[in-house]
Amino acid sequence: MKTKTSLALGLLLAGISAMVWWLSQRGAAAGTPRKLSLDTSSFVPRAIGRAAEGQPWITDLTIYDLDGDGLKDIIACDGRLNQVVWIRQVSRGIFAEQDIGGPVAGPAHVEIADMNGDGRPDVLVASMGVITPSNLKTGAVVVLLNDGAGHFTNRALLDHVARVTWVSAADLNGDGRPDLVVGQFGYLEGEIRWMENKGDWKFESHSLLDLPGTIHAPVADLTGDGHPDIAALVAQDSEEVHLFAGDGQGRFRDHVLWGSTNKDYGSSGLSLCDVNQDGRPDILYTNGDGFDYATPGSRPWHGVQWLENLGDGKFAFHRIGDFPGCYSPVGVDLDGDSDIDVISTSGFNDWSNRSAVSLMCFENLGGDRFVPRPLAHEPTHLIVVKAADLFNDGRTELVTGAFVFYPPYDRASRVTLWERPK
Amino acid sequence: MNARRLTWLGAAVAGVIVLIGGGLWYRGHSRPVLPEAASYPSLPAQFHDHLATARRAAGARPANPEAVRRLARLYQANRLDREARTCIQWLAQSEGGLTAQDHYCLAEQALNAGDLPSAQMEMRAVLQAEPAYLAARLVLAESLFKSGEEAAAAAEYEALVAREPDHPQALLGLARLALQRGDDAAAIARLERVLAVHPECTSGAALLAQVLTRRGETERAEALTEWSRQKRDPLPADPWRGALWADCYDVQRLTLRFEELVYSGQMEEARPLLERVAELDPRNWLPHLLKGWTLARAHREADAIVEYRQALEKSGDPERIVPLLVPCLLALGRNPEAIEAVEAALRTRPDSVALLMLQADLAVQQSDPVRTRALLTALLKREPYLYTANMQLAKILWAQHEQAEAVACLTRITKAFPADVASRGLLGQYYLEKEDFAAAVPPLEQALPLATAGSAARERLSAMLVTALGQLADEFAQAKQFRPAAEALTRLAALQPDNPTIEISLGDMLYQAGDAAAARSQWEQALKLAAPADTGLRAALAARLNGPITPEFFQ
Repeated sequence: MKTKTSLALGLLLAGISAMVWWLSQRGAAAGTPRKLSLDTSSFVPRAIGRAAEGQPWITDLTIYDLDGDGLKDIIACDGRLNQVVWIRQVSRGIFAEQDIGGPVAGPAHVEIADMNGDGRPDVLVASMGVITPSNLKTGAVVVLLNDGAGHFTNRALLDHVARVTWVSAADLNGDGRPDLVVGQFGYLEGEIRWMENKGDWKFESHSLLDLPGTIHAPVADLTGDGHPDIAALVAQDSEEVHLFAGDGQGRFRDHVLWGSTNKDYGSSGLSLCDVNQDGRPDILYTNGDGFDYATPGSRPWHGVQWLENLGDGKFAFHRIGDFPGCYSPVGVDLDGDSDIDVISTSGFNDWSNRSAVSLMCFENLGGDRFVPRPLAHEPTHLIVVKAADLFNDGRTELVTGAFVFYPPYDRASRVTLWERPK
Repeated sequence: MNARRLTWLGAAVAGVIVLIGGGLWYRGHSRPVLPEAASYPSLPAQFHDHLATARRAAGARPANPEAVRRLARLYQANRLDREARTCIQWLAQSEGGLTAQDHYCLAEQALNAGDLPSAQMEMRAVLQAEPAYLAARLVLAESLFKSGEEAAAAAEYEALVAREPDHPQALLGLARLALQRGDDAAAIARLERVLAVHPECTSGAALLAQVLTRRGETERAEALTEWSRQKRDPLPADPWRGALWADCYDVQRLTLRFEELVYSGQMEEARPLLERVAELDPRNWLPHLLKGWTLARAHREADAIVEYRQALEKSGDPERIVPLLVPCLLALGRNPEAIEAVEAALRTRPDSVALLMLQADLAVQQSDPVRTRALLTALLKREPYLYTANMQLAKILWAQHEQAEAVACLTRITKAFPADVASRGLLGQYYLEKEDFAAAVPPLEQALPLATAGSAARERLSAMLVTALGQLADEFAQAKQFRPAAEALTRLAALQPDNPTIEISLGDMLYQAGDAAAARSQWEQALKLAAPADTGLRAALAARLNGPITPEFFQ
């Protein structure tokens, strides 16, 4: 073949390849949704509910449409008032707070479940009794029964036990009745138990773990066998994530998935989310508790990680990033690019430093790469965050709760709604 | 082969030779460089001076691996893991390679990063070189346990026990593995052995207490729990890790380590760390706070006060210092100074709940009811559910015959403290005295099961409840509300099941409520309980049972 012909053919092939590549890039750009920004101007905070007086202690909150009016509400635990409160969305974007049920001493966690089968969502509350460190048996599990007319009545399901920090409902033995998973942080003593619902408000306890320090213990099918399992975060020097693999009949096998040999690791929060969107729930995990010792505050090893569910009960550890004093990991697509980002609050940062971050998003760049994007430096002392489309408009809002435990107190809050600017 | 082909072949061979030679040269001459010079704002000037010296020594020619090793330790001790790892990578390619301690450093870096498999690999390298270094085997065992590799963890714990049969952490680890398998007996055996040889192993005591509680052996469990509160476990011996503290300039890490040692009772090891902090940062008030705290624990209050005052002088946080200072002053009878300390602290922290509570406590101790009442009222306005404040205010109001106001305090306590007996008992007493029996019954019924069986408090509560229920039933009966009267009497009968008078009254209420069959059943029960000598009662019952029943029976 002549040289000139070869050259011409080569140039033609090169040109076609370039054109194909250019078109593919344009097509990818057109098909990719425009990413939303993730920085300190991305969300505008607004206090909702009661005004923040003194040093509020919001210990937990959840987002749920409690009255079934199509508008999502916030249900929160107020550790100062010893009360569960309902910050009701009375109309789109307008909130009003009311107490629900009678007082609950040291409420630490709240979940929504229909416990009496009447079709109305009731409110399960984990009660510590005393929020500050104590080995007294002041813990309880309380359900606030919903009469459907906005009234809730307290009923104690368990009391006089080591301080309770977690309760959730799930049918663990396949008999159609909601059982309870109860995590008791305690102090020197604590445990994890499941309470078998025998009907007529009778429960039989089965102990799963004899250790103090349980913070969260959510239920999901983590092993892929179709039966509910329990993932539990145990702090208090253990600093471990446990998997209680269930057989669907109320029997569980305990297995440590991951733990730190650093007793001051500061385990602070665990949630379930399919981070890599492979159909298996993964575990998000924060270590940011800096309460121990005479110097409350952050530690150099605080941060966020995830345990990737590989199937068959196997998990792989991945560190996402450092974040002093972090709590409350939540997986959500915050920038609208169809992958899961991770948000977290900070409850124990160096608040005398104005550049300390209180709300962070770890943006998912794919390939197990996350980049920290600070969303806010104030308000400070944020202990919990939840994400939801509160206004049913396709945008995600955030709601945070503050636990203001140590100074400075000048940028305190109570319950804050974070919205995208209009 | 023609000339052209020979030329091409020669060129190809030459190219291959050049490539191989170049690769070998590159490998021989490229080596990880030492970390770049950098400034670390969180570390003090003394660290940077030491770092500069160490870097000069490490960078000298000819290269000195020991100097690089010392530089690595300096980075490692201050948790600059990336820089430490770079130094160790340099050492890996030096003559002599890595020592066991270098692998140990790499293992610690991996643990810090949460990379348990890498940590295990490095620990195995340590043990290959130093099989007798038990600290490394313990770390390996624990990291295997934390990875969920139960069999491998058990093997390492057993290997530890083979070398040291009473190794406390190994026995604890084996006990936990046994509990995970559901083998209580094996776990208890291990824990009993730990405590027999190492009674200071308080975490073992706590774990054994839990297992025994679950098995119903509560008495021994309570004793073990009480013991486990004394102090934390001694930290396991690890000379290599311990040596790094001499190179640590991170004040926060030093103070954390100090507290860890104090909580474990290892005072001799703790003291030098505090002195080091004071030397590194003479303006830091924390060493004085911590020193005062350890002196107070040793009941050397006078010395502790000196340290706390120095902490305050160095602009320490009064909200943290004064609550520690005041008990020391009170222990020495220096009450006016204690009051002044709190007043001074409140001038800078007027909103501090901790300081306001302290101020109120001091007023109570001064037996100044007027001032105490004012302080407690103000405090409770801010924090309505403080137990001690509510109870103290309730007592003051009660003594001043303002029981109705006291009731507000007691009611708040019952709302926030579901297990409190005292407040409920006082509420019951108040309503009994007011003859509001309907209000008296609920708090007394809540309190009774909470009170210790056989105690004087329980007997008092029982007596009050019997009175309240009896009177309540009477009130309902007089108002001809027979069903509620019967309910009150039913609850009363549960308290006094052998009392025939209650049973006959219950029967009468049930009959008047229209339930003749139930009434008859109660009368028959009363007849069984009635003493043979109680002819009056027996006659009344016989009349009811034999009939006819007339209204006169119930007058």
